[in-house]
Amino acid sequence: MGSQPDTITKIAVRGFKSIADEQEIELRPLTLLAGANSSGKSSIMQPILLLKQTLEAPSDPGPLLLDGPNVHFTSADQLLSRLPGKKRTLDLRMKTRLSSGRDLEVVFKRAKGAGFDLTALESSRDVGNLRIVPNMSHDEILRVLIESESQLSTESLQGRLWSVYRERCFLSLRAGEDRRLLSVTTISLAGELIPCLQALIHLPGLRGNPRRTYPKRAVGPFFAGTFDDYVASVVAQWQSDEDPRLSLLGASLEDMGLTWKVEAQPVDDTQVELRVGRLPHAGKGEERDLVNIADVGVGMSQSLPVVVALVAAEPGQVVYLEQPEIHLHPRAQRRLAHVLVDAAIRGVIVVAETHSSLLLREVQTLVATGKLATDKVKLHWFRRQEDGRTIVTPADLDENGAFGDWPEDFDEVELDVERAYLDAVERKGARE
Amino acid sequence: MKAKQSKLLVVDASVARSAGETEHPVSACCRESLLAILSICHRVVLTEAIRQEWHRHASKFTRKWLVSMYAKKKVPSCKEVQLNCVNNACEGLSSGEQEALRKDLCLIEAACAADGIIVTRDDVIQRIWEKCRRQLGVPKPIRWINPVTDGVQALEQL
Repeated sequence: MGSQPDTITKIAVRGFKSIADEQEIELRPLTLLAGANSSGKSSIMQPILLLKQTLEAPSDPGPLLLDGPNVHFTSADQLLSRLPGKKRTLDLRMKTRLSSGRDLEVVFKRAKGAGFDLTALESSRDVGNLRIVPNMSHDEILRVLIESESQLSTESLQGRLWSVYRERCFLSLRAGEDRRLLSVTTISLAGELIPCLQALIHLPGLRGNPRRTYPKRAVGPFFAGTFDDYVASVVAQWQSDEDPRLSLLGASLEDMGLTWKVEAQPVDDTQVELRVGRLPHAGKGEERDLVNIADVGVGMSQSLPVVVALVAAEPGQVVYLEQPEIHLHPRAQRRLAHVLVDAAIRGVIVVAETHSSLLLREVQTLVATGKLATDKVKLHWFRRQEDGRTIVTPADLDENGAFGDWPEDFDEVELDVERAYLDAVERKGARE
Repeated sequence: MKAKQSKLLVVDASVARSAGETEHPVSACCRESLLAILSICHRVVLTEAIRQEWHRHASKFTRKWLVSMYAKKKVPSCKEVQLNCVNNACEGLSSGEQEALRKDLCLIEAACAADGIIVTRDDVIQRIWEKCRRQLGVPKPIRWINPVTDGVQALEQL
């Protein structure tokens, strides 16, 4: 990745599961997605993951790979919006905005046979929109290129034979000197987005059971599929390179009260074993007091991929974490917020789906203490209307870490719990 | 239910203390009132004097409530209005009443800086206030709400 890589700054989706109407989320270095179960938090990110797994498939799977390492569908109908009393939506639209200012919208339509057809791709900046659809004629392509103020000169546009072709989940333009397509020129409208999608690090909510050994993988900067498969190899690589990020990893895990050391031990040419300090903090003579990761608590094996991903990610790289807090003690959840914030301060785009009121409150505290600038964090609250449609409400934190009139309900739930208990004791006391 | 107009209230620490206890039916009424303030979208003023009292009496419940109020930007910073005629107001009051007035003067001074509404369990200070309000020189009318006797309806109707 370059010194100033393009990064995704906004995602909009329409027609995907409960997101029947277009909903969008702005991505900032720390982007928290919260809301009740099945409110649509994952659904806003899954279309992006569909694009990622389509791009990364070893052979061309067609316009969308429905069942891949990141998301799993077996039928197009499973992911199209359907509202009570209404027919299922047939169009799925995904829009992204990049830091360069370019918007890219890709439209898929339920195919007559199975799966999806890629029906349109629209690219726009402040000036010059370009919308292409399959089977456009040479003349139609020329017209849209000229209207979009293409950087190619009119002469170079007209001296060639233009056609539209599908590159996995995107459409591109191709021009040759003649129909044999010699001396080909291509315009890849998704050229800036594709590396962002390939660089995206995804950690699903279910990160698998800890294993005795892990298969060796080539290490980044791109991590195809889900990141949990790479964790052992990343640690092994840092160890071999004497990379200072290994110490940072140990410090972060120790701060969370999990372990003070992580070590990768090659078993053979194909497998790596992950060993961790048996105790949360280092003591005298405990340098070799390490155990296999399968022999410690689940919290450790579930959190290690999160911390490795955050430490490994480069500025501008999106790290999408589903429930980073699962299996963590409340104290560790609180400290996890610091790991997320440290990555965000480095410029990593951390997108975390969370149900943790503690994590959210600690982020608010870090803003109030001035550690995290208010413009580095964005909150999105997801809720379903009565007819099932997802509505996203965004919020900014002010310098006190307050979010104002945002429909967050963690506090209400906790206050209800406290009240219910006190009311019960009070009524019991009154009866006696 | 959200209020048509969000009011800036003063909530006495006596309410904070009771809300975290299990004294029937006072505590439940105080909890209901605090939750109503949160859901109705009223705001509260915490001057330095009131803040100290709150921290002295806050329970787990009231701490959570206050944090939620802060997070929702419902605790604006506000400085009390200094009342300079306290000595005049104390004339004609018993020594016990004078002491009570001086102790709870911070509530009245905060209410003068807010919307003139005090939520308290303490009926004594309200009676003393009735006796001396003219001499005190308060710049606006003060309304007293007792969570136990007035209930949440009083907060809903503000």
